[in-house]
Amino acid sequence: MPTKRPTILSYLLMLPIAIWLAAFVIAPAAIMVVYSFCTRDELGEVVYQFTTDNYHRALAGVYWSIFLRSIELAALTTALCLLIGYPAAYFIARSSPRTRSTLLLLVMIPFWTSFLIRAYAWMTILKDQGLLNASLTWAKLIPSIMNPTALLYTPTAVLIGMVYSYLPFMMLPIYVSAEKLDPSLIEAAMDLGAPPLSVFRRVILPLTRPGIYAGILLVFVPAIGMFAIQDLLGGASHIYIGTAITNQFGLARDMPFGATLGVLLMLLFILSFALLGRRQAVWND
Amino acid sequence: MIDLHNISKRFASITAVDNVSLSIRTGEFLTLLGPSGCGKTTLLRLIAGFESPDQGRILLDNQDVTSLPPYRRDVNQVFQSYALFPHLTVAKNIAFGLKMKRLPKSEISSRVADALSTVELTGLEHRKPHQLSGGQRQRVALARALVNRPKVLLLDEPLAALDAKLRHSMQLELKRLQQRLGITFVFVTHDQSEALIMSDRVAVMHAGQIQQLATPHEIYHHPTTPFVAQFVGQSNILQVQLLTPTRARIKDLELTLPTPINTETATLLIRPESITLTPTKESRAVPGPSLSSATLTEILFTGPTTHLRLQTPGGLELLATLPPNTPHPQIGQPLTFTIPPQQITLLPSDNALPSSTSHGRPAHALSTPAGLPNEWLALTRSAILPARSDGNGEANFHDGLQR
Repeated sequence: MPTKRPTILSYLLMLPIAIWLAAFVIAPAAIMVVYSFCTRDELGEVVYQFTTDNYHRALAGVYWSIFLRSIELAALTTALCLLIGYPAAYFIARSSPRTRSTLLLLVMIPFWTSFLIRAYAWMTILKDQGLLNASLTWAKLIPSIMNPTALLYTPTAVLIGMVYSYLPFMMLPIYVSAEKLDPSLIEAAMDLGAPPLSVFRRVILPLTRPGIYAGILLVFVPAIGMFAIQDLLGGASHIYIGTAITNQFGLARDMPFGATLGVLLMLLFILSFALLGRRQAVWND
Repeated sequence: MIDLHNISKRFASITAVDNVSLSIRTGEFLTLLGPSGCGKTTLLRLIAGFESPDQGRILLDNQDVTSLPPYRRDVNQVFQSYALFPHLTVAKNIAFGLKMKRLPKSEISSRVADALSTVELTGLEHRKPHQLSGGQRQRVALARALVNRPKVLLLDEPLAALDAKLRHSMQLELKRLQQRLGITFVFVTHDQSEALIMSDRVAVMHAGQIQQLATPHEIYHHPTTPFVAQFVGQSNILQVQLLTPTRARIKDLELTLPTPINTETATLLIRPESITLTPTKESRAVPGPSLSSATLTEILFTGPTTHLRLQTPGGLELLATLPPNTPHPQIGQPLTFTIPPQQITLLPSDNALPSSTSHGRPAHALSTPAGLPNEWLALTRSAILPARSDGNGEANFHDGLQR
């Protein structure tokens, strides 16, 4: 089918979003890049004097481990979201239209409450005398509430909070691709002699792959930069890149160095987008 | 080859298949024919293993397969939507079943090449399904099933999505392929002309039950229930009062019966092509008991044949076929006609047809019999009218004339 050439009107309709992106995405990113090559004075004001010191500092020493820890957390979050979210999303997509909308609503309901409030709710669940430890005591899995299992302010708590926050972002794109899957393809595969596991591996998985890729991007990318969950549930024991960047802009009053960390994070995103985007393009062909 | 013993399947409150027993012979082309919702597709899915029966047994080649999952049954299906794997090439689609059987690579590729040439698609093996036309997809679906050399091939309205011309050529092609390969075909369709052209035997289904299982010729000329008479081909179904054992009457039409009957009433089937028309002018001089007169109220032109709706002075409506190469008469024109006794089929009085007419009203498919679901009607209309243009109806028309 020949594609219609865009008219003047369609360009005009694109104008608001173009202005928005220019003002709030491209401009700030450009400012960040500029800042990352600058220095600062004693009061924390940016001094426009070209230097690559920030990058040397960021790529040497402690920040490597912070980056790696953040990537590890984001990767683990993504993997768990995929493991938990895929079967759930697939089940929702395959259920009857009525059940489907109810279940989707249940997935969306947490968004009606502020993200921070939900994070605080997890604190009350995970704290030493919190809901979880009380339940474990009641179930006699731990001897007494006075000897609680430490959860809050541990990496485990951070992981729980991350998976909780990002699970819907994994489920929704997988749901969309699973919903489009024609059930007769599954029957056709069975008819041709494929037992359930082969049906999954050879038909269901390849056909829901676009949803999986979209879900991975939607979870992994923001998970690297996340700092609120770590601050609230992780305490001060482990520092992640999101927290490190906020600290540079806030406490340390070192905007150029904060900008440098931000630029490096952005490069990481661009790289992962490019990789996954290419795989998806290959699939779509 | 396949034996169904007292199969029943219910979905919630609907009984889709109601105590059906059916024996499908090795190498035959059997068609399950019926309106949508009659249970034909459910019956096919039960044979394939996608549904399991609430009651009854399914034997495949004398082996009980009732509880076997679809991937352990030696049958393959061609799906109505083709169900080609969109992420695989044509060749990989066709190879899917062989790969599942873990055949050696060399055998897979030679059998795939064979299958491609059987359905005349050689050269397209590296295309993806979305790069093919509807007819080509249909052929890939066929090749993908046949390449496994199944004992039985199940076909679920595989031609429904094709345009009329392609559908007719595929009907013949499928029939020839089936004869050449000798594989048992079980074909599901709601298109009665398709069923008549292709099948060795037709099972006409209604409300989850098989109404009649017979050769196409039998089904058309000797339907055993009013439903079959009405669903297959076009028909005038008349509820008549017996005057004498061989003389019947409905409104102002008197008929001579082929065989004497000893009941007070009877249900008769008269095909439109059995009504012999004669222009009034020529025959006015010979008014006899066999000659009746009527007015032409409607002309239904379908291409090769033209149907006429007639109304007798007494208000009886009849559907007749205009003989070929006859100029179209005028609406409102008086006509005379005869109905040869040997062209009248006596139907058993059966209540399967809810429309068996308020007394004296013919229930041919073009009128609107009360009590039938609307969906059914829409289907009969679309299925029956164009069906006449395939040449088969015409052949029957000639049959009718010559007898």
